[in-house]
Amino acid sequence: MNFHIVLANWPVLARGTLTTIELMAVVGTLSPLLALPLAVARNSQRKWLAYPVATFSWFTRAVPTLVLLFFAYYGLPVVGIYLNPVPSALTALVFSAVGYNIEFLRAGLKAVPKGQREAARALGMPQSVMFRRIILPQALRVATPALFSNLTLNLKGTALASLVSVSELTGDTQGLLSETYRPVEFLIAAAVIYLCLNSILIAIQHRVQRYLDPAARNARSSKPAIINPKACKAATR
Amino acid sequence: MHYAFDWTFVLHVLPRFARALVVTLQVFVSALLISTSGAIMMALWSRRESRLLRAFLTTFSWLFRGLPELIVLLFAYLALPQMGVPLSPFWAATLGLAAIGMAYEYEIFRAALNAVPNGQFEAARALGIAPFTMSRRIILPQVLRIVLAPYITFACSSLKRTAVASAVAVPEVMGLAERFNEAFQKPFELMLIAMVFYGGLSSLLMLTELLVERHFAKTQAHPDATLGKRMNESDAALTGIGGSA
Repeated sequence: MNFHIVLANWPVLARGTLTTIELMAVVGTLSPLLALPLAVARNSQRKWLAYPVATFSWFTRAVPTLVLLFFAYYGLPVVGIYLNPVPSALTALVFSAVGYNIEFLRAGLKAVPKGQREAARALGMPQSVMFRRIILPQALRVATPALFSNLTLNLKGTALASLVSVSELTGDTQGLLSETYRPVEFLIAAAVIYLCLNSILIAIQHRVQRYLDPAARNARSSKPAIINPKACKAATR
Repeated sequence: MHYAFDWTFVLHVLPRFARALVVTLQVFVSALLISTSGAIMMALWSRRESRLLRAFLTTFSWLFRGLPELIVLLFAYLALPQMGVPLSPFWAATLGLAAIGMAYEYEIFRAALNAVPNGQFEAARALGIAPFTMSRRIILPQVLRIVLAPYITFACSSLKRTAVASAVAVPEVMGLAERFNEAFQKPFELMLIAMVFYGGLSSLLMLTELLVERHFAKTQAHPDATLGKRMNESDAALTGIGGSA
């Protein structure tokens, strides 16, 4: 094994890593943002609202990401929708991530005790304020671990974008493979980079979970959490 | 959006997909059998005292849950032959997928094993039951009950993962769809065929999961049901069971 050849090609790998991070950032922000209103709709009493979302969620969970990627890349131009490789890959990746996120957020919303809703209504709180300050923070606390584990899967899913000619980390690695014919070294290098990205995601997850949990967030402050007005405000924001 | 959907083409190629469907199922079932037997063994090992063994198991699980499936399969397909392990595309894909599955299933089985009360182990030992018999007759039957629902959820995502095998030249459903696409330039029809096949197979698994969940919900009143509850707590510690890919 000769890892000099990997070091000699580091700019290519760095560029690929950057594209992977970009894909990841877009999928990671868009998929939960799109999933939230859909999760509310899925929980709705109105059947005409809940059923289509349930069907959509079932569909995106039943079909492999790779099939969605190929459909967006080869299939959509046939019906007149032309997208560059990166936007088409992003569309497919967001689609495949959103279905699971709907289910996780829905479970989170359902986990908020009924009393919370009733108390907010009894206090005369408007629906929008209740959702933003009472329901959502508690639902997110429940859903965060699942959302992040889905995000790690999405990170691994971005590797598939290389198969529809997006030159992210795996795509660039494959390019280097066919140039140098050194699969062992380059695949190990790519694996190490993916594992690093994964660890960064897990670190972010811990940060977010700490932020969402008022008890953990104020664990280090000397004052009890309850009389810390800033903490009280932040907890309901 | 004026596109004439080519039904005659669909009917023409559909019979050819029967063979590809068999290959998909072969990859799925062999990977599942290998990974499940490996994962059960690893979960039982994880209760031993050896630190070295535990470090190995933790690293294995961390590695294969962290790597993209495409990287693992490419490694098995391109790198292993260079390192002196020649594998056919089918076995490269199957073993790669089995390694990934084993890592996740190990976590599922380990969590379930930890949910079995310690008293069960102690009582079996007190009765002088041999370790192998204890695993087979006391522990595993309890583990299997707990494990069934998350296991099927994971099997569903494993099924979808077999599509990646097309990238290492395995002629399964996705691989055949790609080849036909190169030949006939009918991506819309071919991807819809692939969607129907994968959608149908995953829906079968999702339905099984629903039935299993319903079955266990019915038996919730039984005192043993506390086992399931404990599993759910340890389940929260698991990352990435199910999910996209």
